[in-house]
Amino acid sequence: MTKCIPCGPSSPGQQRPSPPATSPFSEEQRITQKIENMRKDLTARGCTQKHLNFFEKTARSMKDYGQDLKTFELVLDANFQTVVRDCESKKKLMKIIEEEKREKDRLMKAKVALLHKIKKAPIYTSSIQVKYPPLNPSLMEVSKKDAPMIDGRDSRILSKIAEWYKSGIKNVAIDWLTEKTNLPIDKIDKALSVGSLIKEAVVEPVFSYLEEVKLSLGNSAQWEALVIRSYEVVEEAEKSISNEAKSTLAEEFIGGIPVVGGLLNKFYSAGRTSLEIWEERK
Amino acid sequence: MNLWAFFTAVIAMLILPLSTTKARDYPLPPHTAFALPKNSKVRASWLVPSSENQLTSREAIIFAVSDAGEPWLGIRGRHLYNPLRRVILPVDREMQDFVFLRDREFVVLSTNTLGFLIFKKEEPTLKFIPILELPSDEGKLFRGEQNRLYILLKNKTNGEYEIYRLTEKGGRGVVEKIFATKESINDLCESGNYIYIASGWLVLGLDLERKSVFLHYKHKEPIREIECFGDFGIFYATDRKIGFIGKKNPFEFAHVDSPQIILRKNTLYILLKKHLGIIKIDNVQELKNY
Repeated sequence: MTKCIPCGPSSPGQQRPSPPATSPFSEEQRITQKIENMRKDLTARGCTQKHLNFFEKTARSMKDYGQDLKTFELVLDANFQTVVRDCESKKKLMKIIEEEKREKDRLMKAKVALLHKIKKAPIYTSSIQVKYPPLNPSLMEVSKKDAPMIDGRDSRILSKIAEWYKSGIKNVAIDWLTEKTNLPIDKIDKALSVGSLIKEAVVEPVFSYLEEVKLSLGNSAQWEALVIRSYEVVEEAEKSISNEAKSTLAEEFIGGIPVVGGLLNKFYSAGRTSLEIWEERK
Repeated sequence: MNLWAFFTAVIAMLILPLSTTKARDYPLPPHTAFALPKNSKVRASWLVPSSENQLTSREAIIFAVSDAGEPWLGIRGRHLYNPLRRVILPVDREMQDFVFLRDREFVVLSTNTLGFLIFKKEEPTLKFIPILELPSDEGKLFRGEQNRLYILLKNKTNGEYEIYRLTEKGGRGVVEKIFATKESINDLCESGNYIYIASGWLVLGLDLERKSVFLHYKHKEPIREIECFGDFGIFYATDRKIGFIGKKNPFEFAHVDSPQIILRKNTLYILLKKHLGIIKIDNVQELKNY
């Protein structure tokens, strides 16, 4: 048996065969190609950008390992497997979520369709506002077409209502004048009842005249102006009435008011003054 | 006055008096007095005691009473308030007026539509469901006899007042235009074949059979409200007084500031608007004897 004497440089003999020479450059090429294949694999699996970014970070760290490409390859393989596992599990989860959503939508549509069928209710969706039934137009149609059962715009009805108002105004005037003058109601009533003998054109200015009289009480300047105007009031009134009514007016409205103190006297004086002026100017 | 300040004032005025005093012992607000016949069953009492403090807001308040005698107030158009139950319900639309046709039939006028309210537990606001389109957004509702509804509308174009009647015939809703006029109408009520309207100082009667207008009553002040009491007569309210026009001489029995009145069966409900109190007068049928 031949003992293997450790060989040295100085001793001749059989030498251990040396391993075949591998260039670091070719190893790097191989690993680079492996990285590229892994990259394609992850993309083909449909992994997310987050997964791809993590893998790229590992691939870029190759230069940090220098010549120790063996260690780098171990780390590369381990990280690749981690990314693949995570990617696959997330894909499964997304699939489950999508399936559930599809099922939920299907059930909701079926429910809505069933409700619609049963109740004939309007369909509510998230993009459409609640719909009400169309408004009943019957009142609108009646308002446009039909004449009222009783037409309060008719001139006969309007004049009746005006008469009722006037008699109401007269009652108010009677009460007020009675209070101010302490005269019996029948005298006031007679004075004011002249309104029933003459046309509407006379009554209204007379009543508005009464209002001015009331406002002028105690104000001499205002009263003077009113006296002057009283002529104009009578002149306007007599334009629209007949001679017969004119004489009645003079008699009842001016001549018929008793001459007593207070408000009524001033009112009578204003009337008498205006009649005198009118007579002079005739 | 902003909404929350107004609400705080309203709630304070309505809740505080109830917690401190017996209703019937609560004093009447200033310038308020009643003159009711002594030897009769006619009785006035507080349903909702009013506050001593006067409401400063000029917001219109809608007043309605159900057949069961429960008052409802519409405050600032978007809230429904029951002062007895102390419940406030917001509404999703502004209301101009509302009325009880029957106990659970609550009709609402909102802008130019007539409709009703629905309530869903999951939603805090009452929802208005519009049904009938109206030609004007200025209107009032009135309960007629036998579940009829009257709507008073003001035509903004020509200033005319129009009265419509809604009834049911053969299972269908029917609308009739009853009356149109240029005269202003404050209130109306129905009694048999007559409709009475408060117009200025007058209470006019519309004879639906003869299709004519007659004068029923004349007052010295504008009449704001009327309530028909069948064959017995008509209750009326001016800005300061409440009276009764019966078969005998008309008379006034209450001095109240800005009252609103509603008649339900034999009880007259009076809203003291400025103090947000409600007085009820029971057995008013006895007033026909005076």
